[in-house]
Amino acid sequence: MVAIVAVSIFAFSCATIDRVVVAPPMIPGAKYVGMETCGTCHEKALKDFKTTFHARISIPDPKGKREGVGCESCHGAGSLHVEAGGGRGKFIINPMKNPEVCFQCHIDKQAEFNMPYHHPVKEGRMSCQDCHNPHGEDIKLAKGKFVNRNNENCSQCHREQTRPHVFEHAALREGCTTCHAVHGSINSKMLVQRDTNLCLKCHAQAPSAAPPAIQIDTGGTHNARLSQGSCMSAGCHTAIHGSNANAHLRY
Amino acid sequence: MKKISYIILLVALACWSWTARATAAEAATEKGSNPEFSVTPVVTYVDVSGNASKFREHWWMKDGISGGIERFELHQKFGKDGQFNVEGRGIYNQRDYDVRMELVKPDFGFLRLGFTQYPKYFENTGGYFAPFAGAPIASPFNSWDVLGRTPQLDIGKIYFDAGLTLPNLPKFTFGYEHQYKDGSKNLLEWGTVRGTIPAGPISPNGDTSKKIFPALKDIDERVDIFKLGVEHTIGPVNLGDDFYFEKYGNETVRSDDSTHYLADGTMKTVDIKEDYYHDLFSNVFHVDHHVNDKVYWSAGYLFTHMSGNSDFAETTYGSLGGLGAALPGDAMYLIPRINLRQESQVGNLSVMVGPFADLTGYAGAQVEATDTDADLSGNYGTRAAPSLRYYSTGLSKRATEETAGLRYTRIPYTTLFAEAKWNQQSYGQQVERTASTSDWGVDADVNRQQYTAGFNTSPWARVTFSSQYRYSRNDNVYYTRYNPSADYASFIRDQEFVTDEITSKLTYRPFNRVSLALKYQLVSTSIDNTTEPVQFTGTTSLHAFDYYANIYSLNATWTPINRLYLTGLFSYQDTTSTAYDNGSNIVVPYKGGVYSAIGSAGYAIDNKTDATAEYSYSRSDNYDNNGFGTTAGTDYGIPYGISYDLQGLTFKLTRRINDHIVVGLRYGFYKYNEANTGDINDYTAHLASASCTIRF
Repeated sequence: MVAIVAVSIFAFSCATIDRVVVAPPMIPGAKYVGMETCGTCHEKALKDFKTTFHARISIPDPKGKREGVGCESCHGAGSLHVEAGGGRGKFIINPMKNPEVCFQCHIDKQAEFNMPYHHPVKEGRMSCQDCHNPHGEDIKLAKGKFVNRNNENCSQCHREQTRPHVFEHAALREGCTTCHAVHGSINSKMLVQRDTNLCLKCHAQAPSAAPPAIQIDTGGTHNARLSQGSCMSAGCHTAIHGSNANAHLRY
Repeated sequence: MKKISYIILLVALACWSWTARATAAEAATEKGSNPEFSVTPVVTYVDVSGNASKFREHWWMKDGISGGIERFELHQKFGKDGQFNVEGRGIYNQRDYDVRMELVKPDFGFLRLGFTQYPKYFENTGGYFAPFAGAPIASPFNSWDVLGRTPQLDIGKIYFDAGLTLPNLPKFTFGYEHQYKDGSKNLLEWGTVRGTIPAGPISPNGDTSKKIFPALKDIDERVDIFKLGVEHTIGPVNLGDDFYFEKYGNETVRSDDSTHYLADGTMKTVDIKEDYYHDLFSNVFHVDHHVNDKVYWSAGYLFTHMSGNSDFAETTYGSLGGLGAALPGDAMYLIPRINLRQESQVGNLSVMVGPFADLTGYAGAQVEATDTDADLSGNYGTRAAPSLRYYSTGLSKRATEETAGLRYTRIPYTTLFAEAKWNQQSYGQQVERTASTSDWGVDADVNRQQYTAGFNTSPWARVTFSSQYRYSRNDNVYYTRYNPSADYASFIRDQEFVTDEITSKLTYRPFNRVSLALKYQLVSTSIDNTTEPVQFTGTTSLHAFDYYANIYSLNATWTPINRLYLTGLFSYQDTTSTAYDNGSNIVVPYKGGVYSAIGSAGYAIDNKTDATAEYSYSRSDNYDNNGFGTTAGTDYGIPYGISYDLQGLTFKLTRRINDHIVVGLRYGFYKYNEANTGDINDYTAHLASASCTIRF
C-alpha cells in the first residue's frame, strides 16, 4: 500500500520544479562564509571558541579551503543569515531547537533517544544544551551554582534525588550515570540494568556460608528476598537516593 | 496556568506596541522593519487500543482529541539592532504550553520572560509473573487502574530575566524563576502480590510472593529562585559575581509497599508521607583574563549554604481490610522534625596557553570542602509500643581535582589531543544514636583517574576519521567503625572500578549527494570488591561485576535528486552485565541486544506541496525468564530484561496555498509489543492531525 502511494505520488509529480529540498538540519540555498565572517558580529563567541572542547576536536584548515568548519559546522551555512542582516533564527540553525545538528556527529546518542525511556529531547521539551554547553570551556570557569561539581547537571531538575539526606547512598558520589543511562534506556527510570545486577555490582559480599547464597552483611542470606524482586524494586530499600529515616535506605 | 500564558502574552503585546511605535518613529531612517508573524492552529486525534498509559509514557502525548496553537512566532527589529521576539505553543488538552518573550537592545539591556509546562506520563502497570496470570481475580492486579489512578506529572516553570548592558559600564542582571512539578509518578518500589501455584511442573509452587504490585508517588514540588549578577570588563579582564537564592519545598506521599492476595482480592498498603523544605543561597565570584593571544586564565570561588527541614510518617492501611477499604492501621517511623544543614566552598584556577608551534595546553585545579550535618528524633516503633530514637549525623567531604590537556595541530588537517583528570576525595562520616553504646560511621578515601587520548584527521576533503581511547579507574577505600548494637554500617572495605572505552568514527562523502558515518564504541567495566565476610572473620576479595558493550552506529544521508532526500540511522548495541552470584540461580547475567533504526524522507511533489515521512524502530531481546522453572525446590529470582518491538511511523503532507498560508495533514501509526509480559503492555495507536500556518 505504502509502495503504491509512493509510486503514485512520484508518477503524478513528474513536472519539473525549481525547488531543492534538503535533509535537516541543512539550510536550503545557503553557502558557507567562513568563521571570520561570523566574528564580524559574534566577536566574543569566536574569541571563546578556541577554549571550547569542540575546538579540541575540530580539524584545522591551514589553507582555508575546507567548507563548514568551526561555527558553520553546527549552525549551518551562513550566507543567507548574513544577507538578512542576522537575527534570531533567520536562516541559521539553533541547535537548542533542533537536536538533529548534534546527532550528525553523536549518532549513537540519537539511537539512545530512540529507546522507549528517554529525556524528551526529540519531543522538543528539552534540548541537548539543557545539560551540555557546546561552547563550554576545556578549562573550568567558576560559573553557576555548583561550579562543575558532581551531578550538577542532573540536580538542576532532579533536586529531590540529589539533595542532602540524613543517610546518603554513597552511589551518588560515583555520579548519577552509575545507575542511569541519561540519554535513553530500554528500562523504566532509564536504569542501566533493571534487576539485581544493578545493586550487586557494588554490594556483592564475600560469603562465609557455602554457596549458593547471596548474603548481604548481617542480613544473612537474601535468597528469599531477591527471589521476589530486586533490592529497591522489591519494596525494601526503597529510598534509593538517600533516606531521612533509615540507615538501610528503607523508606 | 492558562492565566499565566495570557499575562505573558499581554506583556508581549505591550512590548510589541512599544517597539512598533519605536519602529514607526524610525521608519524615516529605515532602521526599523515590519513585524513577522506566524501562527499555526492544530487539531489532533489519537486513538489507542491496548495499554494507553504505556503509549503516553513512550510518546509523551495523551490519547484523545487535543488542539491549540502548535507554534506561534512574532519577530520585529527596532532601532539599529534591537530585537523583539515572541514564540511558543499551547496545546490545551495536552497541558502543553510554552510562551517566551524577549526584548533585546544590545547596548542597553534585555528583558526575557516566559512560561513553559509539559506533562510527563507514566505507565500504571507494575511487574508481571506469568504463573499468576490465570489467577481468578476480578480486575487486573498489575495496574493502578484498580484504584482509579493514572500517574501524570506536570513539569513547568515561569521565569523572568532582566539586564542592563550599557557599554563600558558594569552589566547587571536580575532574574526570578518559579519551577514546579505537580501530580504523581510511578515508582519501581513494587509491592507484594501473593498467590498459590498448584503443585506441578512449576517451581516455586505453593504459597508464593512476587514483588510486582505497582507503586505511586504524589508530588507537589515548588522552587523559587532569585538571581542577581554583575559583570564588568576592564581591558582584557572580566570580573563577575553571581548571587543565587533558592527556596525549595516538596510534599510527597508514596503509596508504597503493599500486599495483594490474589485468592480473595484483599490488600494492604503503606503510605509514606514526607515533606521537605530548604533555603539555599550561593555566591560565585569569578574572574578571567585574556592576557594575550596565547595566554588565558580564569579563577573563581563559590560559597553555598543550605538549611532544610523535613518530616516523615509511615502509615499502614487496610491490613487485609479488603480492596478499597483503606482503614487507618498502625503507624511507625513517625518523625515530626528532621533538620539538615550543608555548607560548601569551592575554589578553582585554570589556565590555557598556546598555540606555541601548533601546541595548545590547558590545566586546571579545583578544591572543595563540603560539610553536611543533620539531626532527628522520632518514634521508630509503633503507636502501641513506641521506640524513641535520636540521630545526629555529620558528613565532611574534602576534594581536589586536577585537569591537564594538550592539543597539537602541526600535522595538516589533523588534530591530536590528550587529556588527564585526577580527583582525590576524603569523606568523614559520623553517626550518633541514643541508646547505643558508641557511635558508628564510614570514612572513605576516593582516588579517581581518567586518561583520554585521540586524534581527528581528514586526509582527503571527503573523509574524516577520528578515534579516542579512555581509561578510567576509581579506587574507593572505606574505613568502617562498626557498632553491632547501633545500626548498619558498610561491609565494603575496598572497591576498584576500571573502565576501558574505545570510540572510533569514520565520515565519508563519496559524492556530493551522499554522506555516510560509521561509529563504533567498545566499553568494558570491571568492579572488584574487598568486603568483610558475613561472620567478620577477615576480609575477602571478589570479582563483583563485569560490563561489556559493543555499540555500532551507522548514519547515511542521500539526496538522489533535488526534490528528494533520504536519511537513515541504524544502531546495534550488544551488552552483557554479570554480577557476582556465588552460585545462586537468583542472579543471572543481564545480556542481549538493543536495535534502533530511524529513517526519514522528504519529497517535493510540486512547487507547492511537500511530503515527509519518518519511521523509527526500537527492539530489545534481552529477556531472561529467571522467575520460575521446572526444577522443583530451586530458588529462582525475577524475570530479567525485556523483549519488545516499538515502532512509530509518521507521514506528513504540507501545501503552500499562497505566500501567507500553509496547510498540513499528518498521520501517525504506533505499535508496541512486549513479549515477556503477557501482552498487558501492548498497544496500537493511530494519530490524525491537521494544521494551518498563517504568516503575515
